[in-house]
Amino acid sequence: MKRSSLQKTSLLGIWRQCVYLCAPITLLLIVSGLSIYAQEAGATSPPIEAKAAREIYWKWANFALLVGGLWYLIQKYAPGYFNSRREQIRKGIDEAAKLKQEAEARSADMEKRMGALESELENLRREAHVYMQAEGERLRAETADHLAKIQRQAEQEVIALTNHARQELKAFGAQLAVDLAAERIRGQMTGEAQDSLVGRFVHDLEKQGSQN
Amino acid sequence: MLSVVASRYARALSDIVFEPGSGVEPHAALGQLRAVEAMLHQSTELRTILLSPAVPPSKKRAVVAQLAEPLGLAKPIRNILYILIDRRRIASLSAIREGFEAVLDEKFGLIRADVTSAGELTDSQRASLQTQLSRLSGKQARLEFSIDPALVGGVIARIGSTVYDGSVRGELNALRTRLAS
Repeated sequence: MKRSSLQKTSLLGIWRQCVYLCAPITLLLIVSGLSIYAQEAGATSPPIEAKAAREIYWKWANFALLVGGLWYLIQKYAPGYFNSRREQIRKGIDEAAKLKQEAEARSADMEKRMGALESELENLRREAHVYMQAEGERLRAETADHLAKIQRQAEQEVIALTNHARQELKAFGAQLAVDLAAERIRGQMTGEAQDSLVGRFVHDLEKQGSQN
Repeated sequence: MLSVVASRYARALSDIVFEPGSGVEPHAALGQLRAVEAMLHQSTELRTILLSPAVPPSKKRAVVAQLAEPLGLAKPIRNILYILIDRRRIASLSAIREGFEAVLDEKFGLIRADVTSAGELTDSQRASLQTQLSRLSGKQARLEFSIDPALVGGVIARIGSTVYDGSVRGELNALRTRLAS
């Protein structure tokens, strides 16, 4: 399809060049013919007739020379020009064909790649899915571990806090009991009780001294 | 715990007092020091004058000289007080007195025992305590008595770092520890 259009284009060019070359020659021939016809039409008087007949011969001779020269020039240069032009056109056609082949190969390659891309994409999608599943599993396991750890820590903390609170409560209760006892003892403390305590202390010291 | 400075002054005072012909008995010297200390403790004005760096030493000396007469201060005691004023060490008087006491105890073979009771002790109780504490320490105990109502009842005796606790407070503390454990 492309090739036929290229051929059409080159033929059109050749035709156009032929027209450009032949047009001036044709124009020249027409002008010469017209002038000759005018001269022939204007030659009415008999004395001038012989002179005009001679002139017309000369003009025809000029015309023949001109045509011959032109013909010679055309014969000499036109084949070379047309041959080189044909070569160029052929070369252009070959290059175009080569380019077309390359383009077709590239296109085929691209199509092949596109086909492979689909499968590659599918592979990637599958791998991503597998990876996501594995990662999800890992995250789930990790979260479960964390949760278990946090729960253990919380339990330990609760136990520690409970123990501490129990200890504080015991200490507070003991302090309250002791303060209360101190108050009661202070209220009941008499001189005799103090003497008794001092006496007992002295006795303890005595006992300790005898032990040593 | 006595400072190095206080012990140094205490030793110097004991050297002076124990010198033959010092003119003052060691225990009398201790009594005089106690009297000055008590006066310093009681009188805010005297404390301000003797402790203030704004009052020149000469004026402080004059004040001490005036006090020496009614308190019956011996010459060595006056002199040590002058030295303390000149060297701005009058604030360490209590520590120096304690150090002097310790030196005296050492010289006379005594041991100090602090006895704290919830109420006033009778003479017989004091005597009994002295006997028993002397027996325990193996030296003649010199008892320093004080009263602390926080003990509720009973007595605490302290010899050096050894504490003998016969107070109600001590027993209550032991009870609290048992209850809390």
